[in-house]
Amino acid sequence: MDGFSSQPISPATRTTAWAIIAFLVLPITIVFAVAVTDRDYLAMPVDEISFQHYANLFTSPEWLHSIWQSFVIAFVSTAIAGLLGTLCAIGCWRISNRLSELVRVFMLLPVMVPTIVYALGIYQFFAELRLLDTYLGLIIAHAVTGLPYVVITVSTSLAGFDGKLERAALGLGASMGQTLRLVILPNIMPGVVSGLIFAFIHSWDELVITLFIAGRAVFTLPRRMWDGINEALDPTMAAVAAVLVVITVALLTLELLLRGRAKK
Amino acid sequence: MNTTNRDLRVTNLEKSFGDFRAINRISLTIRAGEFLTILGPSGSGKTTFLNMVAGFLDTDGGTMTLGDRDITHLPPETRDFGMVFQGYALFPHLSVFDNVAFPLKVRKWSSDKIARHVEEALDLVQLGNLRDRMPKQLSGGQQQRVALARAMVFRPNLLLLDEPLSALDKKLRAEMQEELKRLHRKVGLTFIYITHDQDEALSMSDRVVVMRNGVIVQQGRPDELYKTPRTSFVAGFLGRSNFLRGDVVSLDGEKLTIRNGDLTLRQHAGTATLQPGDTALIALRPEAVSLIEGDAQADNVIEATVSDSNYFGSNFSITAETDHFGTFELTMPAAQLSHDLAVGSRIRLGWSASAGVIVEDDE
Repeated sequence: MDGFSSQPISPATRTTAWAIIAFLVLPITIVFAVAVTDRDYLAMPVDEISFQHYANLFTSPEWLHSIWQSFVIAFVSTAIAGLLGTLCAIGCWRISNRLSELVRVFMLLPVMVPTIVYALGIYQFFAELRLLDTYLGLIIAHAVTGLPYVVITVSTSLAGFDGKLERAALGLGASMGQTLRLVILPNIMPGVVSGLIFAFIHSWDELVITLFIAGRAVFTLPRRMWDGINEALDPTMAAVAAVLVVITVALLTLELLLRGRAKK
Repeated sequence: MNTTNRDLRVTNLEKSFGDFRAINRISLTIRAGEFLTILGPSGSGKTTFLNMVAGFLDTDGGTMTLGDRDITHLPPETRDFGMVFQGYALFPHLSVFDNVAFPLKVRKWSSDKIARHVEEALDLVQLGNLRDRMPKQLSGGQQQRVALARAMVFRPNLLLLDEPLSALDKKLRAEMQEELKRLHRKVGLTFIYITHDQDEALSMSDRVVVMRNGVIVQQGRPDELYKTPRTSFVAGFLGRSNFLRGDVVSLDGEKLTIRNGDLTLRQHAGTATLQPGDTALIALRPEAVSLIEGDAQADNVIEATVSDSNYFGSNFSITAETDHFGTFELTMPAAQLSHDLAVGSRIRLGWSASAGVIVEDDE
């Protein structure tokens, strides 16, 4: 690393880098300012800083209900995506032929196909299955679209896993199940956890599919924010957004920490 | 349990990868308690053979039995074979103790029984004081010992070792060879040892099996193989050999007369069945050749020009160009050489009729 940091950086490079960082980060910081506005519409604080919108967020039954719904859906869909994605990645890794490569590419479809196309398809499909506007429907949709994250991160972990360890475990008398549990999983855990975190974040802020397949009964947090912007311009949304940003940053930091520890 | 009942019998084993025949109808009996080395160059099929014995690879044909039990199609985890891998394959997330305890944990032993056996195994490889270390905190030699302890702790039917010493430096390798021999004597377990290193094969084994291109070329005690290689490949792979080619002109009982140009060689036939008119190939060890000085006599004498001479303390290694057989190597104890052999000087080389071995040409 020292070799890199001692290289002189040209002013142009430095300026571009800071501009990109500003474009990435500044819009996010706006919500923190707006969230503490003293007005009752989306604006910067004028006379004073007020936490009324945070108070509203944590006392309003609608917002709390949406947070809870989003959490349940994200939690369950992440669990499903984590289990299936991990098994799929391990299976493809063990078989490791042209077909398994194809399966792995196939698993990435949900992130490659435009979400709106996917949402439309799911809408048509779920209408038939009577899964529209149900927890189950949204959980399935989010689990499927969360799968690629898990497959990618677990596959990456497996690429660095010494296949000889699996044979060693089997040769020492472990069954396939024991080998999976005692040897393979502990060694690819950082990849699994990263996948789970990404899948959770994905479900937690997913809007497009939700707009298509959820109506009144299931009203997730991003959905309520969307409605809030369209109808009321309620600054509570800014408070919600601020909370979402904090949670996301916390999860990503956790992911980075875990990855750092795994490398050591 | 009687001894013959734990022999591993391999019959007509076959394995192909596409068009490539990795193992071509191999039959071999490995006696219980034996230290058997399978020696071969890379691509000879020795690792494929080991993986089939371990159960990691399916067989395309043939059978394997352990005592009375047919194990041909048993999955690896039910064979009860210990295995030491090239590069050790220690579990990086487990401590030394937990690595060694692994085979016992998966067999659901009680924890105090596990603790007792793991301690015992670690003491056996002299690592009792490192039980809480992680694998990456250990040196190569220590990792090797952990791998050995782990492979033996569950009292396996036999121990498979896949080039276990190849990653170690020369000094450590010699130490571990001693250690392996000691362990083998102490636990009386059957060892099947895979290597491409002829010195390892010769110094450790009760029996050596030489493999090449998926078949067994020759097997026997190390000294048998060294003294009487059956083919030119074995003669060149196990130790070094000079190869002398000529036409058989006569056969008188045991004694062959072989001619190359104007040179006549006397050679014992050994087990070879050659007739006058056949081409004979003689393998001659460098240490079987001596320098002929003054009016000394030998069955065979040829002239040569010294092209290189190296001193190794206890012995000299000399390379010489001969008129009939190209480059010749000879080694002799330094004590026997009274004067320095300058490069370019003419010398006479001699050997007895029983020094060389008639080998089959398979190169």
